[in-house]
Amino acid sequence: MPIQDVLSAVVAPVKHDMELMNTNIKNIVGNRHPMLMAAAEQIFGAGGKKLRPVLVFLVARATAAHMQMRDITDKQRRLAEITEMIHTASLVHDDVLDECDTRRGMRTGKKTINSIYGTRVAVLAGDFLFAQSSWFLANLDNLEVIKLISQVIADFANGEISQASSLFDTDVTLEQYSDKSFYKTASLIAASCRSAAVFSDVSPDIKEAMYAYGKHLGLAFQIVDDILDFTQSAEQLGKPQGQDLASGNLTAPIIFALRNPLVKEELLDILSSEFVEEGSLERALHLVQLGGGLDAARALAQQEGETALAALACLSDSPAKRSLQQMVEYVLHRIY
Amino acid sequence: MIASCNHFSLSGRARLQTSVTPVEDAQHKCALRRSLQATAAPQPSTTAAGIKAELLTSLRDTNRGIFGLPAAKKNAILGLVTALEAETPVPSPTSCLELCAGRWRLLYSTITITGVKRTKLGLREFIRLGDFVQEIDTVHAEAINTVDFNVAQLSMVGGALTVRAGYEPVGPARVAITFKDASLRPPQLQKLFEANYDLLLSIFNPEGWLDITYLDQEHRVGRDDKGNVCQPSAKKAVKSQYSCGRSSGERLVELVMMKVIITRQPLAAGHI
Repeated sequence: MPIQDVLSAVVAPVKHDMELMNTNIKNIVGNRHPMLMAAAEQIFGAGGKKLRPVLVFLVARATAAHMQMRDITDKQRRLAEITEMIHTASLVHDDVLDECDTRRGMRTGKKTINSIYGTRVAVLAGDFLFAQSSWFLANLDNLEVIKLISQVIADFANGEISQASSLFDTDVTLEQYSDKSFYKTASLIAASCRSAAVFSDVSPDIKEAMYAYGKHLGLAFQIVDDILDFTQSAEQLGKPQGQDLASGNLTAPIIFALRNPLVKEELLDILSSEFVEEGSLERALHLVQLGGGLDAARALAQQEGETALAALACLSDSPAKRSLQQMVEYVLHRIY
Repeated sequence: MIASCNHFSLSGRARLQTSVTPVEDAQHKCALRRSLQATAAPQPSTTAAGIKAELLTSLRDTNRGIFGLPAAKKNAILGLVTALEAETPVPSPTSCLELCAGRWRLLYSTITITGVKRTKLGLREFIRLGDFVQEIDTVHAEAINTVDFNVAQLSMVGGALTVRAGYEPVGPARVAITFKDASLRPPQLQKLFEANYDLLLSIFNPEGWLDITYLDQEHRVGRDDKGNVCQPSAKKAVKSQYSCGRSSGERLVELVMMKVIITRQPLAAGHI
């Protein structure tokens, strides 16, 4: 089945939920500050796949079906909005930090908030989203969920800082990479999946399983992203090839390649000189491929995907559950 | 100049007491010579001046080479340095070490801080390196090396690493250097660098030998052939990746220094 159809099939059980959310979320931002309405349209407008709220809705529906509930709750709907607001806030700030003119990966070349409205509005919009989502979170009145999601915002910062403090550190272990990937990406997905399950009143082991699903799916997602930084061309990626590597951010493919004596010495040399020689970045990309780094990273992503799938076993069958299973396939498809 | 030094030695020795060391003897000769000549400051030849001008141009915008340069650029610089060394007006600088007295500013060095070393020392975003200055005190045979830092916080805290070393002539152009002590100012910087203090010192520790391969009134070039520059008496074993990329027996350019003439005028724009 072509991949666009896979995505449609995955989203199908929650399509209406997403439509409601999209309308609502723009109003949340715009009603409070009309000046931000234009920015809201830009931020939440069509373009992104919004996989995070999709996952929240899918876990909500899958666990609700498991508990034989009639429908998902308003709190779960609000949770999906909160998740998307937090994710978007981090993207808006990221774009300011990277001084991006176009949001990465947007084939339509969707312009960033900071390039249209300036840095000030972008920072304020990001702050507003973080603050508003915290307020909504508190109003969900569930301490477990509040703790889960609040932890994520701290994790975002920890992830960025730990990445900055280990640039070009060739001693970085796979475990450290995994921790950093968790803080950057998987943390939000894991926490929001578990929180969605909380509102369906499921047993602790199902809550645990939904957390595990979100965590391993999130890790797979990040590994795929990291692989694509090596493999995709500039047009496909929306940014120059090998940018992670060029800035000293050592991800799964190169961590694996550095274990291979065939390419290790030359890679260490190039890395310690920070690509000062002409053509050294291209050479490094080639060496990573040669050293089996990409293959090993694909295997790791596949493994994380399988762990995520296994976590779904405890749920009774439902369209939403089947979508959660297909989501793993969707996340992994880009590396093949 | 060297000839005139020798010329005075006979009459000088006749008047000096026998307890004088060779170094003191040489310094006394220099003092005598200087008092008898209008000026003793060594001038570069026309050739040397030309090579120097080319070298200084090539060093523009290299930031002392501290964060790495492409191999072609490094080789070009090295070529010019080697050519300049052949034209030194002072072939035996240890007999006239007062010519080295005063303040010197680093223009270029083969010491580099790249990769994880640069990250660990916070030199990407948090801390900016300022001037590397060397104060040579020929009375006490000491060199005080200062590296200025700027910490990018709200108030741009400035600080410095100061390394004090003693030197002793061991040949016509060679001095042996012994590390004395190091300090970080202000105390807040100490905290910042705590975890990587050994790394910091291994980069800036001058311990070993130094050949003064070019010297005139304005510029000085030095080369060392140290192997591992890390302090031998360090409590922790310093990992080999911190040995600054020098291998034993390899003669590398240590410093290209420019004498800082303290004036009231600010440095001209475009000045290295």
